[in-house]
This record gives sequence, C-alpha cells and structure tokens, in this order.
Amino acid sequence: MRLAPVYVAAALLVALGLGAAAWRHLDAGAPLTPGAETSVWNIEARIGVTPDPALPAKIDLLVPNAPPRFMLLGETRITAGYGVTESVQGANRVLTWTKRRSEGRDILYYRARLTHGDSPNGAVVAGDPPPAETPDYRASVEPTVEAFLDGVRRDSADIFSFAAVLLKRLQETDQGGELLALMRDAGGEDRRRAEAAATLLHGARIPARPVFGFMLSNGARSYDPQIMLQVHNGEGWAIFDPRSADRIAPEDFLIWARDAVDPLSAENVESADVAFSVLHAKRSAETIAETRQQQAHPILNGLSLSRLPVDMQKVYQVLLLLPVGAVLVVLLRNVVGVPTAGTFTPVLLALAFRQTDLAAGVGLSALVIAFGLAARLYLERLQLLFVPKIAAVLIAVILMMTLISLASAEVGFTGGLSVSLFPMVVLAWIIERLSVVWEENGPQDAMPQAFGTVIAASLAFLLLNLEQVQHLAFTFPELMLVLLGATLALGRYKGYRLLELWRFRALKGEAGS
Amino acid sequence: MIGAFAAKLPLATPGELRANGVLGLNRRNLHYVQGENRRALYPLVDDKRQTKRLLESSGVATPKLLGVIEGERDADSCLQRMADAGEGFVVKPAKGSAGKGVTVIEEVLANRRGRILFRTAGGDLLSLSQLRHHLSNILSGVYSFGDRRDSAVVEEVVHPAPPFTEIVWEGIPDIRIVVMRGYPVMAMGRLPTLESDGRGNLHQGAVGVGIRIADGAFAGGQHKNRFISEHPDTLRPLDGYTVPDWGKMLRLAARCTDLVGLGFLGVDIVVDRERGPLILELNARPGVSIQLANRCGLEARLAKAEAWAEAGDAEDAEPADARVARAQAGFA
Repeated sequence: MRLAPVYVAAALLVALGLGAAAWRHLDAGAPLTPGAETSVWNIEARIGVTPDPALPAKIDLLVPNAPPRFMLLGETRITAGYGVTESVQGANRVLTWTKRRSEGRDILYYRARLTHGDSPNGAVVAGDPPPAETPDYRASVEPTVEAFLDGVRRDSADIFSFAAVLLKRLQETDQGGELLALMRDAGGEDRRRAEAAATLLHGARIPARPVFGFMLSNGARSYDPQIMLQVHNGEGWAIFDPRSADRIAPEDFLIWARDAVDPLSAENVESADVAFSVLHAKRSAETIAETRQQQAHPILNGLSLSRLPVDMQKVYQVLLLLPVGAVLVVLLRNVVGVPTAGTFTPVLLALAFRQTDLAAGVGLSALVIAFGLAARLYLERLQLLFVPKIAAVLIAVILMMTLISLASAEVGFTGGLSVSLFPMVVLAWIIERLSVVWEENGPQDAMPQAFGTVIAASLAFLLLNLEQVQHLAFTFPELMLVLLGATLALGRYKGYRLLELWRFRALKGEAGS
Repeated sequence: MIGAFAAKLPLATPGELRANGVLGLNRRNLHYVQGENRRALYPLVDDKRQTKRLLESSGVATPKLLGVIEGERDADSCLQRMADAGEGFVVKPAKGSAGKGVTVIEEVLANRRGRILFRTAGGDLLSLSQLRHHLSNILSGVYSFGDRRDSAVVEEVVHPAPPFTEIVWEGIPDIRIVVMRGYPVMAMGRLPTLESDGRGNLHQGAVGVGIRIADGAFAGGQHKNRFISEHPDTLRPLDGYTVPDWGKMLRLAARCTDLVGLGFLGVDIVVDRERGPLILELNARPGVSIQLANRCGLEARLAKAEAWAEAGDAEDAEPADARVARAQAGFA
C-alpha cells in the first residue's frame, strides 16, 4: 500500500523533533524530567534613557554584589552602543554605561540569574558593619529624638528587638509620625520610613542601613522591588520590614543594593527610568550546574529559550503550552467526539484555570457563563442590534466579575480575586455562542456544548498543569514538530469517534445492505 | 477482550459498526465531504439565494421566492409588503444551516386597534417590531457561520400534504435524500414532534423514519436514538405509509446533483398539497443520523453508487432517470 504523503510528512516531523530533542539531551545534557528542582530567578532591569544630545551621557546602575544567601548564576547586559564599565563603590557594585553622543531614547538591559546559595543557615548574615556615625540632629529635633529612643530602649531587650520596637513606634505613635515628618521629606513611604529608622538607630549607636531588593521566597505573590532595613547587632546583619516591623529571613530577601535606595542614577540625560521584572522558574539542579558548559555550544544554546529576555520567556512559557492543548482538543473532538463551544476555547479557558485553580476556575467560569447567559436572554427581549448586544453582555460580565472580586476581597476569599485574570473575551464569546445555540436549538444542544467545553478545559488544565509537560514544552521547543506530526496524522483519522460507538449502538446487530 | 467488555455495555465495537458499513463523521468529512465536494461549489448550496436562482432557472420546483432582504433598509419595506399581502410566509437566513433562524409565519392578523400581528407556525404572536428584530439578527449574521453579515430570504409557506398531515401534529415534515454521484442512496422522513417544537432536527426530538429507496414505503422509525414504531404525538403507526410521487421525488433529487455538481449531496424535499414535491434546500454535508432511521449503514450503498458512476464514466454519464431506476433496483 502506498503511504499517503501526509503520513510521510508526519513521520518526518516526528523523527526530526524527537531527533533534535534526543541530540540536545545526549549531547548538551538538557534534562528530560524536571528532576530535583531549585528555584531560579531571572531578574531584569530595563533602563529607558533619553540622553541630552549635547553632552556625554553617564548612567549608573547598582547591581547585586555578592548578595548574601544567593548565588549569581550569570548575568548579561545589553549595551545598545554604550561603553560599559564595572566598579565597586562602598558596599555596592556599579555598572556604568557611557556614551559620548546619542539621539533619542535608548533601552539598556541588565539581567541576572540567581538561585539560593548552598548554606542558608543562621539567622544573621555575617559581615562587617560600616562605621556608625552619630547623626547630627537639628537642635529643635534632638529632645524629641532622645525621648523617643529612651521609650524604645525601655521596651526592648537587645539590638534586634530595639530595631523592631522602633519601627513599630514609628508607625503607631504620634511621636513616631511627628519624627518621620521631621526627618525626611522626600521619597515614598517605605523609603522614608527605612531611612528615618536607620538615622534614628545610628543615634543609638546601632549600625543600620536601608537596602533595596526583592522578596524572593517561593510563595511570594509579588516580585516588585522593595526597600528594607538592615540592622547589625555586632555579630551580623538582620533584615526588617519597615512596614510591619517583622524580621525577614535572610534567604527570603535578595539584597540588590545597600545604603542607596535608588538603584539608578544618571548624568546629562533628559530622562532615565528603570523597570524591574522578575521571572521565577524551576530548574533542575543539573541544568544549573551545566549552565556554563552550555555556553560553549552556540547552536544548541540557540534553541534554548532561557536566552530570551525575561518578559518574553514568560510569554513563551504559556505560548508553548498551546500546541499541547491544541492536540488534546483534536483528540477530544475527532477521536472522542466531545462537543465544545468553539474549537480552541477550551485551551484558553484551561490557561485561565491555571491562574486560579481547577475547582475555583470551574466554579467561577460556570457562574460567569450562567450569569452571562441570563443577561443575554434578557437583552434578547430588549430587541437590540447584534453588536451592541454582545458589547452589553461583555460589560455585564465584567461588572459581574468586579463584584465577585470585591465581594470575595471583603470576605477574605482569595480564589475569587483571581476571577479578574479570566480571559474576558473568551468567556463573552462562549456566552454568545451558547446563547445562540440555546435559542435556536434549545438546551439539549447548548448543555452538552457547555459541559463539553468545561470538561475539555478541565482535562486541558490537568494536562498543562503537569510539571513534566511544562518542563518538556519549555526545555524542548523542538517537540512541537512531534505535535505537528501527530496532528497531521490525526487529521487523516477516518475511524469512528468514541461517542459514535454509543450513538450508533442500535446498529450493531443490523446488517448493511 | 475489549470486545467482550463492550458487549456488556450499551456500546457497539468499531468492528461491529464497520461490518455493518456505518459511516462515522470523521470518514464522512474526509472521504465524502472533502473528497466529493469541491469547495468552490459550496456557495451554490450554502447561500439560499443562489440555490433558489439555480433551481428556478432550471425549472425545478421549489417554494416560491417572495423577496430577498439584503440590508436593513429592505427589511421595513419587505415586511410591510408581506403584511399588506396578508398571506403566510417564511423568513430564512440565506446562509443559515440546520434550520437555524427559520421563522414560519402562518398568518398575518390585525388586532382591533389595527396593529399588525404575525402568527407563527408554533402559534406564537409576533408584533411587527419583534419580527423586525429577528430580521436584524439574521442580517447581522447571528445564524450564519463565522458571524458574517447575511441576507434574509422570504418565501412562500408550504402546506403539508397527506399522508404526512395524518401522522404529524405540528410542523412541516420533510424528506431528506442522500444522493451520491447522482444516485439516490438513502432517504428518511423527518417528522416534527411537539417536543421538537415543530422542527425537523432529529437531535431536538423530531422522529426520523426510514424510507425505502425502492418504493418509498416507510420502514420503522427512530426517536432520540431509540427505535419506535409509532409517532409519539399522534400514535400513528409509522409502517404502512408510502410517500406519494416517490419516483418523481427521487428524480428531482438526482437532478440536483447535475445542477450543483456536488458528488455527496443531501436534498431536502417537502410535499405541498397543491404543488407536490418541492426542493426545500440542498446540503453539502448531509448528516449521518439517516443511518439510524433506516437501521442500515451507508458505506455499502455509497460504494455501490461510486462503482456505478465510475463504470458510467467510461461512456457517458447516465441521465437522472436511468440513475434513479438503477438505484431503485439496487437498494431494496
């Protein structure tokens, strides 16, 4: 029998994909399983700068300098035609970009890959304190400061409790508020509080300094840069949160810059700003060990997505799961025969479930779809034109989601907050489609479609949420060729769908004629 | 082992279905719809305006076209014209499928204050603005594939003829004939029920009744995937009826292939009590439920028709009459 060309193409694609993956596994040691994992954080500083056209521009960025309890796996910088030099200033390491003449806006990048260091033990981090200088308070302030410090001293036992009580007092008491207002008048609330606390601690002969960095614990919800207070007790440093006065474990906070709270400074520029983004990834221990080795393989490394900018990596972590979901939908529709509202809406819904979790996702989408259908059926009675009607449904659905989020924030149920991450347009579209089917063909058509969509989305979620699947999709993008081959082959599947075995069960005894 | 397990379940095995020549959707799509029907010809059957024009110009009987509404501006004048005429009419989306968006107006009424009301086949009363809104929906493409803008077709109401009027309580029964390369291979009657709300779609609860190609006799029925022998509303037995003018109907169906050039075609026919068999619409993707109504797989018949057509290709294609005669002799 002659093989149809589609099978030849499919076999070639599968062979090519598997071959490339095998080669990369065997030669470069890209791991097949997520394996024993450690967290890796990719932190990217994106500097947008508009230099003064007439003068030579100079941009200084503070970058991590042997951050305690963390290990720098690698760093890259994109210079955009600038000269770069590195220097150490005090406790900080500084990258300096310079350019004699420049027109328009330039984008500079600095990227660091970090993981936890090997020995995260001990509550304090050893290190010499800087010489503590007693600050020179203005005469009008001094009595207030003394009284305040005396009060704190009465309520504390040692240096760290002194720092904690001081931070709390700064926040809670009138005296603290007064002091804050007197000491500093610039910068954000955190910065003001950290700098004021450091100055006050200096007054009590305690070495302290504000530090700039990121909360990088595994469960961290936000990776926005933060300002903390570092205090030295004679043996080592401890970190305090200036808002809550809580002490923070040193392995949870990456110190990016010390003393200074502004990581960016620039000369001769019209404007300069820096934006940080953090990507948390799980990487097997072996990969991290082999990072350096891989850099010797330029071609193989070209296939590795970890070379991309961090926010692009984030996109690809999701994007590369779509083909997996698409193949699952093909299987469900053409081999099983599950009816769904729209072809790939289940995959998009499944990706939304990843932001919530399965139970909350299914519950919320059912709620939103039910509400949307009700709204749509009501709008139908108002006899609106088609497009305004869909727009009205969309608005009603978003209104409903806002209410869910507000209500659940009130009750303190965090699952409901994530409803806002749902792809609105997908849901509005599902609602539109289901309501047309409902009106025209009745619930006996709409309900199976709704159920089919949710079931397919749940299955897709379960599949896409497997760490192994995520790992393979991101580490071996060439496996997409295998998926493509499989899809081509499935595209010629002429056999019965599983549900047809039930649908045509009555015909099993009859003879064809 | 799997077979033994399946025997205990209400399932057929793929082997059993294959042995009976049951056609599944995947194979229908790949082998018959994609294999026999050229994409370029789809508009002829997917757009009811084109179908109508083609059928009328070739002298094939079809419900009379009363008007085409291309845009919002035509809608008011056309509705007014229909209201003035006072006769029943049917509104359809030109590119709708599976009966979506079809509204049958049986009668135009005026209430005491002179307001015009339209009585639908289901017995509902629609105001002018309600019907106008339905037309807007059709025009904005709610019922057509891919939400493109659509037109609406207005045509005359069909009045069902006996014997269907005896069997069915409400709705208009029609006959679906699957035609393969010009040979009618299988037929079924679609009888609306109260449950299906007067519509002919089987999965909405209409009754499918097998019709013998040889003589047009009813042969058992199927309702929601179960075999039945009487209509659920009227309790009329489904055996013992014969479709009148059956030969004429088959020839009509066979001619449609010559007109549109689609090798795998579903032809929907209604019988009007005055005008006789009329072609209601054509379908380039006929469904596979017809096998359940006939308790018989399609594959063997499709293969036979293919073989006849290929043998005929050597000389000249057979005319419709000869194809129908061959099919009637071949499919008992």
